[in-house]
Amino acid sequence: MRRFIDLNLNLAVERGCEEEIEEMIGWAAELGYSCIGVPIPIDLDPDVTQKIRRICDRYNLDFIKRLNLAPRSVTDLLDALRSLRRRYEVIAVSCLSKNVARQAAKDRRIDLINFPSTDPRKRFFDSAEAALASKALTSLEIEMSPLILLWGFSRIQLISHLRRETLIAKKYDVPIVISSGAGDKYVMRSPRDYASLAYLFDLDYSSAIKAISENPSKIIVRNRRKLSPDYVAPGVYIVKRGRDC
Amino acid sequence: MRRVRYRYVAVKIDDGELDQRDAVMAVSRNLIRLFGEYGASVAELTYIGSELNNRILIFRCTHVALEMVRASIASLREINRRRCSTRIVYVSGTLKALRRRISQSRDELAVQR
Repeated sequence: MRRFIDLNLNLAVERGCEEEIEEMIGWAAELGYSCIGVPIPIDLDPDVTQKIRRICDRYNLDFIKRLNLAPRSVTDLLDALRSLRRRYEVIAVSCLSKNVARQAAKDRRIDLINFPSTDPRKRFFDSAEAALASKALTSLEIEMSPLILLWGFSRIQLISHLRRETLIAKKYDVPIVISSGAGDKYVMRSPRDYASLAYLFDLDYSSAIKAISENPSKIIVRNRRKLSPDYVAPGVYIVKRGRDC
Repeated sequence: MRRVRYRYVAVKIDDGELDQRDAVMAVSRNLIRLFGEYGASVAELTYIGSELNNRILIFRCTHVALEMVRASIASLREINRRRCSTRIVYVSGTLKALRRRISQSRDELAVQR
């Protein structure tokens, strides 16, 4: 059976509103997700993370600890990665400048890159970016909540950017990951509804389903393996411990 | 002339006491907003009826425009200035099969959040 994954569910973790968090997690379970990624700020109390994990367990959801980075410069990005990579299962970078976008695309420690702005000059996903991302196995993340929340001309612009970026990603074999980016339950939709919404930017239904199930799943499996104590270096794992080996 | 094939779509609107007419209008309006009058004419969206005390609305559309209708329902965010959450529960080729599936999962679908 297919496992649907929402890698970006914006729970109100900083406000610590437990009822709201539980409502959204319960709703995600009802919509058919089996795994959710929650952005956890760096300075958040670990007890809150544990609380979220417990709520997810109650609803039979797999909890993914995600970090959203929005660095101003390449140095900031590299510093953050050096200190935080091993503490999070998924790292996403919002590319606010071209230099950051290029570095994020070629860095193997980054799982997802996204472009939050609707300003055409601030969306840096072009052929060069895609070629770098393709080599480093970085995925292009498409947040669906702006498609629901935006209106009129800004939505038209967003759809046209997404259409162009999807085309480039397909051409260069960059994996696409669809996530909700939802901040409340009214913006949350079922995985199949998100796949239908992807029709707006010409992503076919089967690719969209893959972008919300298989592609994020690959990232999680890969990262969990890397974070396990058996990981030594890329391609090198401890398969057995003990005196006889 | 080739016979037009239709699809029947069951939509659950997860929000308290919504007027069924408002909901139907909102879905049609959203289809026109997203795909224009030409798109809406291709879709031939028709309201068929409701099930489970108006919690499930059934629409009919042409099978070529199914993706358009699905996208417009998924992007619906408010009905009559009230925020709501919509989801497509089933899509079927015949009304009979759709109603059968709804009645089979009646308990699951009747849960009001």
